[in-house]
Amino acid sequence: MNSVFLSVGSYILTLDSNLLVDIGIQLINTCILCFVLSKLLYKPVLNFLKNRKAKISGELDDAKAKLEEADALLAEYNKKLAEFQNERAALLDEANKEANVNRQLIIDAAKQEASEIKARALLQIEREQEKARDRVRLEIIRVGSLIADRFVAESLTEDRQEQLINDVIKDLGDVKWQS
Amino acid sequence: MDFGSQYIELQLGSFTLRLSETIITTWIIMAALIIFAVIVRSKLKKFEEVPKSGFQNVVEAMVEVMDSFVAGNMGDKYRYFGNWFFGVFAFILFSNLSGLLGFRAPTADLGTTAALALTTFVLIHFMGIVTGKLGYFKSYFEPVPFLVPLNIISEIATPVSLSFRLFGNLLGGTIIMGLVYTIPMYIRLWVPAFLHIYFDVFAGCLQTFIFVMLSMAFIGDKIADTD
Repeated sequence: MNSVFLSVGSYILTLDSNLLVDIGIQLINTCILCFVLSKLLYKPVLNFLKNRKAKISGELDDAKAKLEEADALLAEYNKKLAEFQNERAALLDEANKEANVNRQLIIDAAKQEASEIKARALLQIEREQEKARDRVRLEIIRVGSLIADRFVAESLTEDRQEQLINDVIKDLGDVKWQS
Repeated sequence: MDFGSQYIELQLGSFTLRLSETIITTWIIMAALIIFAVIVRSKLKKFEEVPKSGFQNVVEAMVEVMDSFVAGNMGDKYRYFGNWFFGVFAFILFSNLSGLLGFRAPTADLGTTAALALTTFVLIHFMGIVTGKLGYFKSYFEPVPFLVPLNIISEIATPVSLSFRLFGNLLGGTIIMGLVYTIPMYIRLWVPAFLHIYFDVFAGCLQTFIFVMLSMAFIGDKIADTD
């Protein structure tokens, strides 16, 4: 198609077919410009901003979730710590009680043993007393016999001697042991 | 003194094409914006989680502001309109600011502003039909059926007001700047610089904001009415 230059001029406002052509050209220009700017600039930058916003929002949510998780962990640890403390207190209490019981048992056993030892000692003493009494009695008898022998040998008759011996024995039977 | 948009007329077969300064400037702005978009796309992989470069901060701020602006005006459900309004906003803003580089702003041409307003008009009614279905058509018969013509005129007035507001403001600035530049240089001194700040930067940014905000509000209202 050959183009031919016709004329030059200027216009401020024309209400003719040229205006319609200008409107058509400017419509096409505007649509092309808007389309290109939207495709190359507006949409990509807006998507970039949206992605960044989403990322920041996601990171904030993540941080919030982690904070909540940390709070939950802290609460759990505190709960466990309280449980441990209660358990420790219970164990200590139980140990104390057991120790008291053991102590009482030991004391009772000691008392029992002491009383048994005491009883045995008393019995021993009693036996020793008995033995001593018997020995004294025998000694007295021996001494008496000795005296009697001497006395008999010197002055007494046999009857008199026997009577004396019996009297002595009788008297001895009435003697109370003095410790 | 010529405040108009320069053009050349070409004969393409049986069709006569008026290739105007507006179209050429639009293509230059488009090329600049597309190159910027390509640079952003190529650097996007190097963008860091925590922005360190000013470039990344600026790009993120642009997109984030537009996204929250659309969500605030139209609701979260219609955030996808940001794709459209980001392009429209960038185009109108750079068109309005192109006066600083000596170009004639493409938005000082009704062909441009009418095209932009037409897209808003189409979106308003497309979204009205999509969200409202029969309710959309019923809305023309409210509050009473004989007001249908007035309702239709009111709907048509929307793109007309949108396009002429932007066009009028930018053309006004262009004419005033053209007049100022006719004053000899030893008299005008630094005055054009301040006027550029007002007409191109201040009015340019303000009109961009107004156009985009009104478009969002009109579409959002139609969705809210029929949803």
